[in-house]
Amino acid sequence: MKNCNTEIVFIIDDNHAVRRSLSLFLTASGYQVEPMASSEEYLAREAHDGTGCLILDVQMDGKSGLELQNELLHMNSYLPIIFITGQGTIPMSVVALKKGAVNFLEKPFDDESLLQSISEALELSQKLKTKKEENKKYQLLMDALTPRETQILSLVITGMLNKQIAGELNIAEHTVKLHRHSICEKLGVKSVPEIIRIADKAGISQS
Amino acid sequence: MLLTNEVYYLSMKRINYFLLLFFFAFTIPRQAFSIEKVKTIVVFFALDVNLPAYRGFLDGLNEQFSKTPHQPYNLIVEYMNLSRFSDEGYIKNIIALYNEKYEAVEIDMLITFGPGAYPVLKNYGLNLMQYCPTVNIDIESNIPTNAVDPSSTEENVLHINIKTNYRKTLKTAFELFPDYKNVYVICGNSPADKYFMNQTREATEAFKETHSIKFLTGITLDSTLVAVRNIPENSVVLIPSYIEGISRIPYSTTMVVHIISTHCKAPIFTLSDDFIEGGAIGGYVYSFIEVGKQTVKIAEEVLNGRAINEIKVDEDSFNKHMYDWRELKKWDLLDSKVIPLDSIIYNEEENFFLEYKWYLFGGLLFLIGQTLLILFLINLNKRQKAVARQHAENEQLYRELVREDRLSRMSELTASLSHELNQPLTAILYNAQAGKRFLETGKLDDKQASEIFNNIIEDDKRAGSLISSVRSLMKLEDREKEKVDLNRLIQETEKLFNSEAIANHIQIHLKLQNQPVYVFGDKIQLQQVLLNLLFNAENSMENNSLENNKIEIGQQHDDGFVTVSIRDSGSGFDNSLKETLFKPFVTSRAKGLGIGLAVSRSIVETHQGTIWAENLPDGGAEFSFKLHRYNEEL
Repeated sequence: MKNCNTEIVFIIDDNHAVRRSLSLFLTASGYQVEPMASSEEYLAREAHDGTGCLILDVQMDGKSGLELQNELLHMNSYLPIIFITGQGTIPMSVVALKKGAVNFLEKPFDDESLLQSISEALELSQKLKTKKEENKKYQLLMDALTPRETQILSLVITGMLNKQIAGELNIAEHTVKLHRHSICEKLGVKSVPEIIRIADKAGISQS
Repeated sequence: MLLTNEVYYLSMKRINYFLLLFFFAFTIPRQAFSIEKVKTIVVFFALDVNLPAYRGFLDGLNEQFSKTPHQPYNLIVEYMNLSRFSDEGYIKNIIALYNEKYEAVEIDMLITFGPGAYPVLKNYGLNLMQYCPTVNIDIESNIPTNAVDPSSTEENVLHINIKTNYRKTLKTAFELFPDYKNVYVICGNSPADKYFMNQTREATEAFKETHSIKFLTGITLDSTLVAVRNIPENSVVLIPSYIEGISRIPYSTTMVVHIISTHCKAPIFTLSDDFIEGGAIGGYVYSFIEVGKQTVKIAEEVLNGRAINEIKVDEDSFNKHMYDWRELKKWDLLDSKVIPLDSIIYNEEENFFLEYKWYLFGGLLFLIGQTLLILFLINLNKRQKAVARQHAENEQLYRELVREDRLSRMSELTASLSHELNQPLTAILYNAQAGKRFLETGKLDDKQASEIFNNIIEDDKRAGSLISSVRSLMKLEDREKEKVDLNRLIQETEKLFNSEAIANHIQIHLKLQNQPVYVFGDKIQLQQVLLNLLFNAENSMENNSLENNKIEIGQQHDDGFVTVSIRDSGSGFDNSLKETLFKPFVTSRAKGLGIGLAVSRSIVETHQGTIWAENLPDGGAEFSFKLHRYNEEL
């Protein structure tokens, strides 16, 4: 994970001139940039683990910007996207924004909008990264639980009493207590609300 | 129209010639072979050759002979000059001469004419008389000079006695001029003149009550002229006969009539048709011409074997109403009721229109023909102008249509073009911004500055070239044809179309040779064809799934031609449309005019090329056009 802590602005545009000028400009503005000519090129690249954002052209040979956005959503990428386009339509921009794009800029966009969008995107990226790392931490804690413990935890966070859990799982109440103790030790917490918070962060819902 | 008339006319003419030839071929030989023998007639005139009566008689003879062409006549005329040479020796000599002259000649008939001719020939023994039937024509056979009594003749003779109807002649004259009460009778001095004068004097007795009648005779012609010059206005002049003046100066009545008419303003009348030469009015007169005509009829009967003394002649029928048209006109008598409708009119001044009737008719026809021709030509000219105007309008419409199509293509391309143009503009902007940033942060080194400027220049050129190609497509005016590199044109067009293709997820593949391929043509119009075909291909792929959109532009060429093909992976076209595909307003799409392919065809055809379309076996269609390669030598 060599890029672990770097912040990269990816410029993905099939137009050589635009790509070149943007990367020059953003370099001048102090960003680390990585220009790319197509969606495919980006996808082929080793996934970037650090923060950053994508400046993504909508119309391109091969996969379009919107298609790439879809794929990245599925891949849980937390790099925010700023779309740039030469001929955008309103419906197109609405779809893009709904799916989490930071902005939808029409060429030739001015530098302030671009820089504003980039800084927003990078902030968002930072947040997303932090959140993701946190989630990852709690996920690791959760991963330490045995399947039985996980099962009991999922019932605990719904607010069930030990007796009810024992009844539910058809086991002895004492056994439930033992498991709960083990859970608290593994998660490093002492109270049920703490368990609930960690479970939540680890993505386990109360339902 | 005119041409057929002419052909018709010519063919009629040809037919006429043919008929004429036919006629000659059959009639001439028949006529020629039907002649058995030429009949010979000898005419003996008693007096001199210049006697008008003789001339009238001969005219009548010839006129009537000419009306019987199936029987040719040989006419021999002898003038005996009996009034000039009256001694017996002369008469004996000429008879002897005649006998010798006609001894070996076969004569079929004799005509004796005038005072004394018949008796002299008879009495002095003209041999011909012994066997030839003879028609003897005498004027007033009781004139004293007649030496032989014609009543005691043989059977082989027909006597015709010319008798003047003095009374009716006078009456007619007086009726023509009812207010003219003075009558001057002018006569010569020969016995014949005197005879006629006396006959006239007798006839005037009946008009004594109403008219004052004076006789001018026994004086010289000069004196007569002096006298007639001073006669009162309401006078008529009558000249019965004037063949000899005082001292036996020979005249002819006709001559005297003519001379007197030039000196005298009064109307002049004569007894016979010898006035025709000019000067007298005419009237009810004795016609020698008529005598001649009737003599021919008699001769025909005689020569056909009829006995001559069986033939009856109505001597009154020689008197006719005869007039000189010029004189009638002069005296304003053309419409006079005294003149019967069947009168014989001489010297009628042919009415211009009547005389030149056929010329006029021909001229009129010619004029009408010419007028029609002119009208036809004017009409033709008008139509030609209309056609030319129509042609110009069509040309104009065609040009407008081509422009319209081009503009509509351009409007379809606008979005793509603005995108295409936005790229370099964006690039220029950010190159500049980058430069500014580097400058602000003090990081601008020479290498970077140079890179930025180069980028800006490059991007600007790209934008410029894009704009200029758009502008030339938008231009309305016609351009000169030029040498065009088709490969380069395809590349340029593909660039214009690029954004459009990307937006519609169409992949464009160019399959071109590296070296240029030239054609001679209008670059913009050819580009228009390419654009039209690209749009056409794009439209045919509207219903495709995104991955399948593909357009392939290919170019092949040989020595003479270059063919450009545009293949698509669309739905192809309905085969039933194949014939009409390139006709205007044929479209399977809801939008668009359907003129794109029609305009393309027009453009290709004005470049002497061909354009066609084919469905591909594995789906899609291929539209191709073929042009002559540019030849430097041409």
